Amino acid sequence: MSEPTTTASEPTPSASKPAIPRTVALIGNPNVGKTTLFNTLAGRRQKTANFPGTTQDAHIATIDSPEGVLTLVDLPGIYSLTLDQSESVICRGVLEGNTAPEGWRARPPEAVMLVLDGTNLLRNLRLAGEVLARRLPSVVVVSMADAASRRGIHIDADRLEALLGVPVVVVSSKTKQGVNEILPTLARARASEFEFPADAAALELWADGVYADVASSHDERDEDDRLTDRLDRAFTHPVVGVVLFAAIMTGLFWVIFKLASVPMDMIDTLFASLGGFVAQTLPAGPIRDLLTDGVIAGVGGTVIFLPQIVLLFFLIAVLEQTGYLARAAFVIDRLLRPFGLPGHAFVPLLSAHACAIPAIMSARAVPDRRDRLATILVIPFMSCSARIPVYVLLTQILFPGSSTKQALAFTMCYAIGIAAGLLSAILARGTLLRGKSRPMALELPRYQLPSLVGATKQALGRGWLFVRKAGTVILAISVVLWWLGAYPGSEPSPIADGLREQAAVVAETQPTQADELLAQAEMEDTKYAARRTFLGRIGATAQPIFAPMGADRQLTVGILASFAAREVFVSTMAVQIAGTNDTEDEGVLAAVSGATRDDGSLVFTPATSWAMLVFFVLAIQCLPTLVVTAKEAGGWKWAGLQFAWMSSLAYIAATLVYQILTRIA
Amino acid sequence: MPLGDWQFWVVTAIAVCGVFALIRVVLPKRKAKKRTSLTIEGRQRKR
Repeated sequence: MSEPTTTASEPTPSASKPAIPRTVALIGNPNVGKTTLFNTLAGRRQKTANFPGTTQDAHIATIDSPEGVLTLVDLPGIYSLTLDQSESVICRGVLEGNTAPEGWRARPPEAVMLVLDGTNLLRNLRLAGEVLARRLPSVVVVSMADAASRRGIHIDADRLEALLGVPVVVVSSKTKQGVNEILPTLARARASEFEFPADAAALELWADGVYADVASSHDERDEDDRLTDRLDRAFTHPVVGVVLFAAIMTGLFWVIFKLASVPMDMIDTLFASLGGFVAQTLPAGPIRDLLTDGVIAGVGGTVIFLPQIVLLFFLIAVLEQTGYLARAAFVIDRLLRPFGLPGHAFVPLLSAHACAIPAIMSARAVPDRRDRLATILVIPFMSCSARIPVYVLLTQILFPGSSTKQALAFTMCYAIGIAAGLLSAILARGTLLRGKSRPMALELPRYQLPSLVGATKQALGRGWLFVRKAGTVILAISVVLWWLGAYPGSEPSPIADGLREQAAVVAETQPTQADELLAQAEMEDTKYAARRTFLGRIGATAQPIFAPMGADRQLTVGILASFAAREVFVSTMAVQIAGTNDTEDEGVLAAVSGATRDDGSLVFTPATSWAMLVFFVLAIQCLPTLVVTAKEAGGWKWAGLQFAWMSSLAYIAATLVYQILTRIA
Repeated sequence: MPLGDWQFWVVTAIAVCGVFALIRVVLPKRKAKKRTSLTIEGRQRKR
């Protein structure tokens, strides 16, 4: 019996081809081109999520490549895995399999893509030693190859691979050199078998040795370096730097307000047309009213700010990519420190003048927790664009026909907001957030041309977050407010009935007077209904609370309704007083300024108008802002504190203003 | 209240949904309880 013959089966092509890891963590120092590389690899297939319990963004992309499908997670930039900073804690957690972006399962990545800056390899190697010591399958990507080459730095990739024990690929996101090699190289990811020093001093020595072995430099300072030095002399100068900063930021906001007005008008027209279409298509009734006055008006009122938000984040991303933002933070740090705020806080504080919601979201850029919380707490003091309609209404009532006085009062509102914010920051840092903050350590990257595609992606991502977070809340609030303002409904006002009877009598002899009487009857019905709705009754019940600051029943309803969103104050007042919410109509403004209380006296006396103006400068009056504060600060206690502090301050200041002015008068 | 009007009930139901949506945003989410298996000396045990 012969022995059966066995032949070794030839490996199939699929078996010979190493499998690509399914989950890859992208890690590296800040400003090494990690996010640019991520954008290059991911294209548009990326999502943004949070790491749980933090305000750190996680960018995730599923990449379907010829090598296989993999999920790439872009981690925050860090200098070391051992630091007690949120970025380092997150990176440690992800590598250990304890942390994952919200909605993702926490488990160690199948591979690590370690990005090292080719122009600054020595410092980057220290992090490389820490990461590779964790024995996870890894690939090293040496980025900015073009810039390194221009500086006369040559990196021996083969030697680096031999010294680190993992595959190395040299790339440039700008010239696309080596980018196509990254995914095939990932399939060869392996854990290094070398020992890496554990303590910092030994790690530094090891990095020095590796760098000396793999890099040769002519130490030439290229044209880019000389340009960076020249620009930095101006941009970081204590005086010139501040002036340039003010000019750049003024230009930024001018561009935002100028450019955003066109799409804002388009969105406004779109929603108005949609409302008109629904009103014409559906039969009259509560469903039609809910859709037009609740859903469409509410969502439209929120989405109208989207162009400002997207533009703001686009321009901030462009400034960041040029390398200017790091210089701006450095310059402003000196001015903000006496108030307990860091230089990083300036951009959020400045952008809060457009809208507090993206400003609070952009406070993520403030690295120290105490600094970040202080920034978030004071951001709503800055006068956002939603306050403008209220300022316009009240300054016009106070100074009719004097645009100079109106402008001065307008500027004063902004100044009061800024002063209150800075003083509140001192108070917060001296009490709740007492303690030393992290000293501002900034790496000043080289100036470079921004990537418009990358900036657009970032801006659209932020815009979508705004729509999702604030839009849903606003929609719910609008629906609930509409219901409270519509029910329990009412029979026609007895006064309106009388007016209609008078109109019927004079209809044939004096038709013009009859029309006026009918219009008055309609307004009377609206006011009567407003008093009898749940919202009106709440106003009457709560009026004694706001009486010390001069508020009657109607103003109380306006204040209460504007707790959802401050711009609601104008339309609520207009609806109550004039029977229309078309606040752009001059007639309505005149009607509001001449509106009377139940006792026949004026609603808006000078004392009441000043008190209301001060109240709306200082009060938070924006539920979506509170929701975003709770999310970004990490708990409702911070949103509650913000609400309580701002509302108390606004109430006390408005009461003082009203009481003093009524006594002087 | 127009209790006999069916449209009133539709808009009221939508408003109630709005209230729930707001409560959901305001109240913290409960974390789902994780059940892990108990292993003693390499063998899985029933709890």
